[in-house]
Amino acid sequence: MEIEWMAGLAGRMRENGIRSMACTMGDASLRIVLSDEPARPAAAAPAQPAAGAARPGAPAGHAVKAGAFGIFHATHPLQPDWGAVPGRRVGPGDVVGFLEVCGVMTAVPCDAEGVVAAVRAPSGQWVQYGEPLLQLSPA
Amino acid sequence: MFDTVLIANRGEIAVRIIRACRLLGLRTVAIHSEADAGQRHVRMADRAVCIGPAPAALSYLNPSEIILAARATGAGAIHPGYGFLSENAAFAQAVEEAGLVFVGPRAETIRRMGDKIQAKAAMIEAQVPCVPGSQGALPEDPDAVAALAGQIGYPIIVKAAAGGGGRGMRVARHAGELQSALRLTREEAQRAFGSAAVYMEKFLAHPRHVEIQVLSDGRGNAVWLGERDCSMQRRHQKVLEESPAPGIAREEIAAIGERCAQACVRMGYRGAGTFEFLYEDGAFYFIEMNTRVQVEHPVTEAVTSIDIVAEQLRIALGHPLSLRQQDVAFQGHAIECRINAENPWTFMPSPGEVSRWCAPQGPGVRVDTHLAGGAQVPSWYDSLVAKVIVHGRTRGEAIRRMRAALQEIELEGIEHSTPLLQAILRDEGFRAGGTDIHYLEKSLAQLQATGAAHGN
Repeated sequence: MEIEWMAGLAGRMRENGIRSMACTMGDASLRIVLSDEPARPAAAAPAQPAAGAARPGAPAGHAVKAGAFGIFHATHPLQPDWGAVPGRRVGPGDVVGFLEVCGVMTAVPCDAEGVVAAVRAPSGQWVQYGEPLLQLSPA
Repeated sequence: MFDTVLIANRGEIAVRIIRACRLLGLRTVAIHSEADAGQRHVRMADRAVCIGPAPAALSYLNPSEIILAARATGAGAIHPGYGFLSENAAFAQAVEEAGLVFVGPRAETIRRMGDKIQAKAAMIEAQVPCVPGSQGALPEDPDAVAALAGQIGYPIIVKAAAGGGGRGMRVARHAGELQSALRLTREEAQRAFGSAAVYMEKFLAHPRHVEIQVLSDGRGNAVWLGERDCSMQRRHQKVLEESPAPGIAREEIAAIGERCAQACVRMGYRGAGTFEFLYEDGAFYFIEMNTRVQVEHPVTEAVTSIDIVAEQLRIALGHPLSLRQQDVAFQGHAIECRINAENPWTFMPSPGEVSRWCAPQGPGVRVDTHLAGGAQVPSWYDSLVAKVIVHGRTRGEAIRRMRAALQEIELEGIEHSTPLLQAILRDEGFRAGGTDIHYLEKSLAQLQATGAAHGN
C-alpha cells in the first residue's frame, strides 16, 4: 500500500464528495477521513468554467461525470438492472454505472440526489475523465 | 512497428515530441489532466484524451490509465518525455507487456541504471572512469565504513542507491560527520525511495558538470554527440547549459565520448541517453546515466544538426542507427536558457494566466515552449515554461545572441526567471567560462544586486 496510491484515493474521494471510507485488503485495513480544509494549493482559475456552472444549451439538472478514463457501461453487462436505469430515483453513493478499466469493472457512484433522466454517454464506448455520463433531474 | 505515438507528458516536451512525430509521419495522441485541457500539445495532437484530474499521481503518473489510453486510441508506442514515468522501469515493463513500444531503453536497462550502485559497476566494467568510492553498497558495520572513508579520503559524500538528480545525498567533511551523514541518508533513502542502500564517493570540491549525449540502437551501433556543460545550477536544478564545454580539449571529449558509446554497445542500450560526469582538474568522473531525452537536448541539436527526438522514434521503430560516428560534425557554440515561471530571485513559483507572450526569433534563435497568449501555467507541475536556445559561430557570439534574445522576450501575467538569466550572461565569471557547479549559488546575491542595478 503506497503513499502515492493513498493520496490518489484521497484525491478521488475529494473529487466525489466522499468524506470517509474504510476498506480491508488482505490482512491490512485502511481508513481515510478527509479534513474540512481544501487539500489543494490556491491554483490559477481553470480554463473551462467550473464544473457546476450552467452553460447555455446544457441540459438542466445535474450531470454525473466520469471519474476516470475507461469504457462506460450504463448498467452492468451481467446484471441489466444494476446501474443507471431511466426513471430510477438515486442518491449520493448509489451505483449509476460502471467504468471498465483494463478489464476491471469499477462502479460509478452518484454524487447528487435526483432521478435518472438520460444516459448521455453511449454504453460500451470510451469516455474521458470528466465527461458527462448521465443526467439527473431534480428529485 | 507503429504508426501512432501516445505522448505521456505535457508542456514544452510534449510539443517537441509531437513535432518529431509529424516529421516522421506518425500520428499523435495527447493525454492530459483536467487542468491541462487548454494546453498547446492537446491542440496539436491528432487526438487528445483527458485521463484524470490535476494531481500528477492521478494523471501523468498513472500507468494503467496511460496504457489504457494507448489501447483505446490505437497508439502503438508511448513516448514518456522526461520526468514523470520516463525512468520508471515498472512502467516501461508494463508498456512492453501490454504489447506496446516504449520509446526508450528496455525496462531492464532502466532498472539497472536507476540503481546507482549497479550503474556504477556497469561503467567500471565498461572502463568509463568513475568517482573513486565504495565498491557497492556500504556495509552495516560503522567501523568498516569509517575505514573505507579514510581510504577514499575526506571529504566524502554518501549517496542513496535509489536516488539521483541531487536527491538522497549528504556530505561528510571529516570523520566526525560520517556517522550522522550515514544515518540521515539511509533514513531519507528508505522513506523517499524505499531502499536504504547507500554508497560512498569522494566529494569533489570544485567540479564542473559535463555530460555526454549518446544515441544507440540496441543492435550494436552507437554514437556520441558531444558534450554539454551544465554547471550553472541551483539546488541541482540546471539553469543554463552550453556546448562545447569551454576550455576542454576536443580530444578529451572524443576519448570520453568513445568510452560512452562503447559502454552503450556493451549493455545493449537502446535509444537516446546521457552520461553525466563531474569534471575536475582535467579528469572525468561518472556520476549517473539518464536513460531518457533530457531537457537540454536542443543544445546538442544546435551544434550537431541532429534531431534527437526523431532519432529516438526511428530507433523505437526498429531502424538501425542511420548515423556513424564519422557522420557527426560539430559546429559553433550553443547556449540554452531555461525560463521558469517563478520569481527570479526568491524562486517562488508563479502560476497564473499568461496575458502576453512574444517569443524571440531570428538567426540562430530557437524557442521550445508550449506557451501562447492566454495559456494557463498551473501550480500542479514543474515551472519550466520555455527554453531559449541560441547558436553562434563562437561562444562570444552565442552569448551576445542570447542577451539579445532574452531582451526580446515579452512575457506578462506571471513572474519568470529571465532577469536571473540576463544577470548570469553579464557576469564576468560566466563570460570567462568554466565555472563549477557551486558558482551560481555562491554568486546569487551579487547577481541579484547587479540585476537590480540594470533595472531587472
